[in-house]
Amino acid sequence: MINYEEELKKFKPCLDVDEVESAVYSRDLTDVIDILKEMMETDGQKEKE
Amino acid sequence: MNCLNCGTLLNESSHCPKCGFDAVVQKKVYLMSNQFYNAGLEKAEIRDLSGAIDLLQRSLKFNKLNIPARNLLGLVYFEMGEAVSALSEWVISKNIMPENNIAAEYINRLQSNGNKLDIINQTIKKYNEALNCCRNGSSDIAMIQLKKIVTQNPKFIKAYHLLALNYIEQNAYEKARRILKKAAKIDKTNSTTLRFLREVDERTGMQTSLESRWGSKFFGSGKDKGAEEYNAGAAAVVIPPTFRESSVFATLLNLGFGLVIGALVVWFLVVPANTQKINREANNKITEYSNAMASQASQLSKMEDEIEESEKTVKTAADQIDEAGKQVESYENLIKAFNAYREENYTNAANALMNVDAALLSVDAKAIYDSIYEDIRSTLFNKYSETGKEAYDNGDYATAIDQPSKAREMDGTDYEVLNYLALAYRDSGDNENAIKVFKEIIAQFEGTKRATSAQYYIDVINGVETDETGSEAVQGSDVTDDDSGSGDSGTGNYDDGADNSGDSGGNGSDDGSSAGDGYDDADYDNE
Repeated sequence: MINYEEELKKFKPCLDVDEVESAVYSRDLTDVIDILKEMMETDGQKEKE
Repeated sequence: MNCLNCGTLLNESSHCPKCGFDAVVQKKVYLMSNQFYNAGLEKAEIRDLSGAIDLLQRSLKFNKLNIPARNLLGLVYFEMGEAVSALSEWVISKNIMPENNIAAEYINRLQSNGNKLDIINQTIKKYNEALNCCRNGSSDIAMIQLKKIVTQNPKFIKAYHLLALNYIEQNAYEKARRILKKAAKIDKTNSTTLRFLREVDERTGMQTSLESRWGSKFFGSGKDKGAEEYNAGAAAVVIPPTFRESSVFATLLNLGFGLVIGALVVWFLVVPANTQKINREANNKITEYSNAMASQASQLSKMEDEIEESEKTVKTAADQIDEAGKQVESYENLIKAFNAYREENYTNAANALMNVDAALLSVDAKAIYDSIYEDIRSTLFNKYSETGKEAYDNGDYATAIDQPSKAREMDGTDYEVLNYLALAYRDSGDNENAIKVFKEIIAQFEGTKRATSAQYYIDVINGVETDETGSEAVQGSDVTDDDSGSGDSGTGNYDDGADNSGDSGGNGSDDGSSAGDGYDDADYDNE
């Protein structure tokens, strides 16, 4: 059984066109490659130490 | 693909050609990203947009530099009515790869069509307002707004969801179902759409069919001719501009097919069936009429047979009646003859007996008849003879032939009877019988004047000349022919009672009344 109020909470307001820039900047673009690079850097620092 | 360690371009080898870095993990990550992209592309092709978004987002999580995946993700967002998300992806994509990127073209197209972008922006704002109205309890106003939104931006799937939710809240399940079906046409596997549809199905007790009315095999799916093609790197994504159950051409084609099939059905099924029906009815009628005619002909023939049989019966009855009448008459005459015979009035007895047909009498009656006949034979003979003569004199040749014939049957040696009979035949024109009787006379009285006279008559009939003697004899005899009624001397001269009695001695019962009849016998005998 659907609860109207509960379902309404799932609906989020849409960003309008004016907010594209902020939306782009707020995007988290981290991917697995970034994580791998970070891991390598961390490993390299440990080796230097 | 560049080495994570030194940035050198990697080859097919598992290690970097420059620094020798182990690039197996890096390559596997790129491979995973590409695999998710391919899967997302397949989902997008079958309009499973939610599934495509999920897979493409995963692809970008593995490799954010996967430009095709990002461009495709933007397209899918745009198709779902989320223009801002789409623009975000395309902008990022363009920043990552500024040249030879189709995302730039998408952005340019959208920006060049300011009207459309404005409409999209307005619908987004209205959607947000409608959502606020719903949260504030003004769902009626929200629904009005949402109806306008879905009209202006038919791909805005979130607006469909919110409108359907309001319909469900107001128990307008059929309207909700229609809205959700439209949403399902945009995104087949959207979890919200399916969840709301399940709710509608449960509440109405009726399963919602998402299949196209005409089937998806023929129309409304696959690559339409007018579909927009977006090239995203190596792959091509085909997304129809609008979803249609069928095109105008398809409808016309359907109508054409229907008409042709209808015409063929009428021509090959209805018309032959109709013709067969008419022929069958006509044959039945003909058979009926033939049977009726045969029956009537049979009845007619039967009735004709009955008529013929009836006619035969009538004829037989008439014959029997006639025969019975004759028989009665014969019996009456026999009784008269018997009474006359008892009273010894032989003349009357003979007269009555003349009219008796002996063949019609019974055995006993025939015995009586024979007994009387034997006793009055001479009387009867004389009666026949006299009647014949009288009839001859009166010119009644039929009687003149009949009566002497009967007398001849009684006694065939009497010259007078034979002579009158022959003369009656001659005068009636029956020369053949006349000659026959004359020859009988010649045979019986050979060498006498009677024979000569008879021969003379034969010669006359045959047209042969005779001698003087014969002529005279004929003259003498001829007196009886024409002049007997005048009572000329010939009769008196020939009348000789002694000779006559001697001549007709055969008539034992002669009562002397025939004495004058032997008018020429004596003369001939004396000669």
